[in-house]
Amino acid sequence: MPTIQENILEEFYKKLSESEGFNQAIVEQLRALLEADKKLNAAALVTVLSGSAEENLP
Amino acid sequence: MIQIESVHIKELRGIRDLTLTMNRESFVVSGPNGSGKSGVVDAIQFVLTGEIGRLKGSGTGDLNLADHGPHVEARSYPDASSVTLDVHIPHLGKSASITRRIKKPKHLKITPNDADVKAVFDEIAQHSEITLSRREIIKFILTEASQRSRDVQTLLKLDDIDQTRATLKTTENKLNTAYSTAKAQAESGEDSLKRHLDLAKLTVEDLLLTINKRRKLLGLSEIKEIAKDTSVAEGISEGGAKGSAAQTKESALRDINAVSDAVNKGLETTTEVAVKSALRSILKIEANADLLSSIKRRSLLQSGLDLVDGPHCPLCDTDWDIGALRAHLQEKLEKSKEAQVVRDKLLEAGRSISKEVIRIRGLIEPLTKIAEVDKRFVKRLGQWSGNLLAFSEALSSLEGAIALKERLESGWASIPDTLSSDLDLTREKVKARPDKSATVEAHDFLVVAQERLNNWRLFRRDAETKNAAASRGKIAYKVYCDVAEAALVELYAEVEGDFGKYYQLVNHDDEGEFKAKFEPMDGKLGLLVDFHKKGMFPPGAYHSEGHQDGMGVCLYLALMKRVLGTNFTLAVLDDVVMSVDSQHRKQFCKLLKTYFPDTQFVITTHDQVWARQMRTEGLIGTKSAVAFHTWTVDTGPVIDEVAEIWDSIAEDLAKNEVPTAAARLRRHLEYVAADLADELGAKVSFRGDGGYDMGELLSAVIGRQGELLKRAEKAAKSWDDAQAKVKVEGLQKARAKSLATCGGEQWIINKAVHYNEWAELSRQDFEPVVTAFRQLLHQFRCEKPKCDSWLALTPRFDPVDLRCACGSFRLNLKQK
Repeated sequence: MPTIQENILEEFYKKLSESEGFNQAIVEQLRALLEADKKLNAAALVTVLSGSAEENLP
Repeated sequence: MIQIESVHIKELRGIRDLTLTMNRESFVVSGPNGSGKSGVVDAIQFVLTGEIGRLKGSGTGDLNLADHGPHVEARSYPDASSVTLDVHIPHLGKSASITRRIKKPKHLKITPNDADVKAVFDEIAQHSEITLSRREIIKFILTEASQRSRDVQTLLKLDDIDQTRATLKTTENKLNTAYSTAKAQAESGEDSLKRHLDLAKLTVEDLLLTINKRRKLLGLSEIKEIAKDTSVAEGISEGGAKGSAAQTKESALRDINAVSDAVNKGLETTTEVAVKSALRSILKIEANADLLSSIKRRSLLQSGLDLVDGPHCPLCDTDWDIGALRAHLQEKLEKSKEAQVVRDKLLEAGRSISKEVIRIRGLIEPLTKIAEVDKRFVKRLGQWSGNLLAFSEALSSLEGAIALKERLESGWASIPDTLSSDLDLTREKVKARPDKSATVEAHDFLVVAQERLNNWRLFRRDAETKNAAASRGKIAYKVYCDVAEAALVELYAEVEGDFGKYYQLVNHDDEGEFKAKFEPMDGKLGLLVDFHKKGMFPPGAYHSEGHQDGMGVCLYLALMKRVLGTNFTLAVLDDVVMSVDSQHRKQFCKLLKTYFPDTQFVITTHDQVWARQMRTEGLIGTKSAVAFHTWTVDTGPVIDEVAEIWDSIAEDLAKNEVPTAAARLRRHLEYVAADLADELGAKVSFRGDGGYDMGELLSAVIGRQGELLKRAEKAAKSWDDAQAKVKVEGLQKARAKSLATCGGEQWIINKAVHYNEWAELSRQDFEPVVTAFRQLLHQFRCEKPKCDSWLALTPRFDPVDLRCACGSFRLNLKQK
């Protein structure tokens, strides 16, 4: 049975995919970060949200 | 997940050597304070989680598992201190045995060591809330909304949600700051380009007009549009003057004058509000030494919280309870909120000032490329720009900003003393520059224009990228908050519903329409409860301590149902609901039996009446109890097995101890008579002091039994229910036989009233009395061993049924 946190994350990815400025590549990078065993780090999120995003934009 | 078959405890806490057989059924351990019953709770908690809650957390000081886990006489032999649990795992259909020793608390010996069995125990180790004390239960009720939110989220294993939300917020802030800096940089680049082009506003039309005017002079083709890679200097001959040497006289003068004008207007004018705000914050911090340490501690706590990401301390590898530690750090962070506000205001002011620093450095930089600026002035400009950069960087940290107090008070721009004269001298030199030909001027103009256009493009692109990133950061945070809140609202609605339902059942007599309302908002979880339909109030406002205890248990059960679902098969409740009164305890038993029939409850209590009530209500089986009556260091708890009352009386009589047997029967009847009178609605004369006579109660109960059987008989006839008719007839015959055997109702009542006479009877005379009461009481009880509850009217007022708790005994009382 998925946990509440897992359900929230799945819905989060789904809604982000439909949001302006997000494509599948960014969402997948976020997924990898948020579901990694290690602690979530703001610096890593900054990299994902600003990194190669421009080329990946639709 | 699991149910306990038996627990074997050796040299742990107050226990030397104890085996309790629980047979996967709910079990009660009773005994006075200090009799060692909490040692059983500690043992179960230890073997399941490797920890003993009583030895950790706030207020436990120097206590630790290694030194204080073993029995006081076994402190030097921690290897002798162990707990073994024989369990059944319902969803796997397997039995297993686990042993844990104080010497190696992280090591768990599991038999069989199958992967699925091991996974079950790994999972249980994450659920220390299976073992719960009153202190822990009440914390969900009597606490601030923010703390409740954390406690509930910890219990529900939702701490990650808050953590993720906080990290996304930090990310959003970082991206915003980066965008803000990049935007200031782009604006500075735009100003630099506009100055060179001598345009007040940068429009494509004006840019093309200005550029094409020079291109025409050079015989270059007209540029019709400005794309992102358009070069305004395209086609210009190689080898011409470039960079600083190419700056035109007019453009150089505009750059010089821009600095002069800015200085004359006052470089700090636009930052006056921000500087005042920064100084206010600094003065606040200086006036209150505790505030600074609180802010510093807050940073430490925040860093500490970020490091709490595994089951062990990253420095010393000591085990920690990650949920409890996070909650503890969060609580401290909450307390330092004022410090956070001051800190945030100071840093926000610093960011505003830094934006102005970027603008000024953008004015300084072009000066260094003017040919007439001598090396010493270039050096001074470089030092000034570097100084401003260092100032700006210092503003980004608390300590750095506080150290800048004097500079902020006296004028932070630190304009070099010689700036004005240096600018004047340079201006004169530039003015004295011999005029170049129009084509050379045009050439130089286009080269510098292209250079500044390139810079602006870079800055602008960077700002656009960072703006997009900041926008994504904002969206990510908002989407996560919305999704999490929706999920939590749904979750709390479920918990809220169950909580209200359970509490209504426990308090059906006075709060049968109780309602509760969770109010989750901004990381807080408000809780309001109905108080006798007078409105919704915080739980501690009007409800008694006993009712609050009841709420705590009901909320705990509702939460556990949500956390574990069908895996909620075990709960260890350490002296909970101790202040709930007798009537509500009866309903509490009903709650556990009705809504948690598959959960094994191991309950400790110092209240013998409560222990007995659990048995009479059928929550605890006749063999599922143990009483600790004394405790010594050498022996640990001394046990009195709570056997079936009739077995105990038989044992007394076998030893010819009639007075003991008589006293035991008397106590039992005293309790049962009142209980049955209540359950069956027997009519007795009201007594203001509640001192009802046992004989009067028993007489009323027996009479009421006869009435109810007659009602059931009539009901069966009206429905023409042959099966019910036979059942009622059988019960009436059994009742008549029992009363006849006892020599009639009056005989029983008289003996009951004059129970003191029993002590004088011989064993032979007393045995028939015992048998008579046993047979009589048997008629009021469910025969199913699992249920074993007294029959009761349902619903309590205006009843339609006489039934037991499990429903296997049911007589319809309502006629067609």
